[in-house]
Amino acid sequence: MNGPTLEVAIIGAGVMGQQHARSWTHVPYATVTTICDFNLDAANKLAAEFHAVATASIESVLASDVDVVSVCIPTCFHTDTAVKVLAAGKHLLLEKPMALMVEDCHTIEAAAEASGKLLTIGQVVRFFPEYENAKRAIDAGAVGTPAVVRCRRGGIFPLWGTWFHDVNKSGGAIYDVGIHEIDWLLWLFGPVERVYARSLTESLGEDSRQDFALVTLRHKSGVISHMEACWADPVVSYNAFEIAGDGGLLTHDSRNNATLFLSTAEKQEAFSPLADADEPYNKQIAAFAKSIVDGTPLAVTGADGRAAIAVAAAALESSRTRKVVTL
Amino acid sequence: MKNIVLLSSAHLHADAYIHELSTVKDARIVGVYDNDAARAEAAGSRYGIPVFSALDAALDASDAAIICSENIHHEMFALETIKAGKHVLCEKPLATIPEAALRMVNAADAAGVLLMTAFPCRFSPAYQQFKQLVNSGAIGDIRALRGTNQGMCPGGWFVQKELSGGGAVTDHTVHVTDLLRDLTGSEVESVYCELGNGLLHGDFEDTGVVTLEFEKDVFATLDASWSRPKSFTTWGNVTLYAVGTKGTLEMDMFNQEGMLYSDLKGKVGVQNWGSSIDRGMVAAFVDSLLSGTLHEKAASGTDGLRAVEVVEAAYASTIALQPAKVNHRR
Repeated sequence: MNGPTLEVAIIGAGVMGQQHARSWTHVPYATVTTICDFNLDAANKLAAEFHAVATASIESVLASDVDVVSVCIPTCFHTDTAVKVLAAGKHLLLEKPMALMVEDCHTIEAAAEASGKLLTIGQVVRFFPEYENAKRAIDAGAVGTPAVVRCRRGGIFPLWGTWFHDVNKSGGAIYDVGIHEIDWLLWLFGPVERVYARSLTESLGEDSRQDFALVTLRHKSGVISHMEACWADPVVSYNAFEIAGDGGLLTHDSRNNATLFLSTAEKQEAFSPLADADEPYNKQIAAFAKSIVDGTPLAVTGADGRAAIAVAAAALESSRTRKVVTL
Repeated sequence: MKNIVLLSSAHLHADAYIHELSTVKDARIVGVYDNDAARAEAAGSRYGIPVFSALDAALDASDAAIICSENIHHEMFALETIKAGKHVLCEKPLATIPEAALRMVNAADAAGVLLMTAFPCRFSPAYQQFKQLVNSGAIGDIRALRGTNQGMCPGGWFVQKELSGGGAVTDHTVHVTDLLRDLTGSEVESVYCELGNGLLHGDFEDTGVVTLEFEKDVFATLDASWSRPKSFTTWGNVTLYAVGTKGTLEMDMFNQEGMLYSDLKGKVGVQNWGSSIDRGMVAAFVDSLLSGTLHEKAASGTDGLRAVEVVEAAYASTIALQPAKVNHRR
């Protein structure tokens, strides 16, 4: 066969693993060859969809010929697995959040450096058209110089996960939901100088099913960002942002963006479909594949992933100590 | 029949208060006095009411006063009115510093007259239902709250600190703070604020994001920024979102509106058709005058003072770069 080929393994056959596997099939020169999950039934089920091999053994993935691995497992296991994948000479797409601690992020980055393989983090919001459009618009001066920003994400607790509620595994809403906003805010408005946050994470103890956080960031540029991460709504999930600058205001609210609304006696449902090529997970994986085969700079680096974790960690610390944390 | 005098029309809310007063039984507006004579004349002709040239004459002719002066003059007008034994409805913020608000509260108590703070949001039907739903346990126990009172910069004396006391944080922190105190039945313990002047680049703050910690185990943030540009469809908003143990509740107080796309004005704007919150507040003031005790929904002078104390702590936190304890005056 002429041109590049990529053999892909997915570690973790949960909701995100399924998403990654499907998105890899949109890359013409990539083949999903292996699905790995310690739950072999889950691995088998997903593997059948792609005529891939199912395994419960990470070691067998590491020993295989796959070129690239998508790691979609609980956050608390990211570091060990990421280091092993990179050390085995595979390129790595690591789901967000990168890790629970900044030190772990450094460890993962060092493993990438040592192996010479590419590492990217699944900060997929950068590929959502409305969030990408905001980046383009702000960089082009659409609101003049930005001054104050609000954004929020979430709603329903991720009921499909068996581990999200355990703050020691997921980091709670700030890490699992808020990390999207943090990464996007850093991307648009630059590094953060200080953080003040309040969240329910601490008071909920180990079960963060109803977590909710309000975080204020002061960027080095002077921009003030207010971010909300929510797992506390029983029904409604949505995301929204607004960016006010000295020349205007840009707003987004996903509740206003449905292009289809289905209403029957059984259910009401809103849809906002995109063409395959514009679908954010497809774009994220297409961009990573391109970086692997032709050296295009990564859209999201390990350092980007670590910067977001540093802010998330500061937010959690601020909420716990009720003090401003300076980065 | 209660006779009410308007003391200054510097604050644009005077228009609404005078209009609503004309719809209330058992009260009438007897005239306007202003420390700015030209503004008094303009208000007199705008509202079609007499103009008093002296404050004592204005107070002699009245049972009560509505004060809509620049913030810095609230104390002087209130103390003069109270000294004359007349009741007061004072525009928010009650004063620019807590000490001044405390002097107003103490003077009213000593004189046995009513001092009401103009917090009309308490009279919004949406807020009333919000409070009722919370109190009925519809969303369980409140754990966290998030509010906004974002608006266009009003300009004029509002951006002259020597007259206003401060920018957006002074102007827009107090409404939502008052709603949160009323809703939680709890005082604010500490405050953190990030503010800036990145929208208008003046010598006043035009952005402010405030975090409140309540004595009860509840936290809240509120956005007081003047972050609605001149091209925006309306003046601004008051929103409130409560996270409870059994659900959430979200309010957008002025969302009862239609859009008007006007080629005639070359502008997109809203046409609000919701109930006037000012009507409820003015009616409650008149009720209070008739009964001699403050209406149950009304904000007292002490409520006004508590909100000013929160503003004080917000500014203090921007110097210390840490949350500031609220200094509650007694």
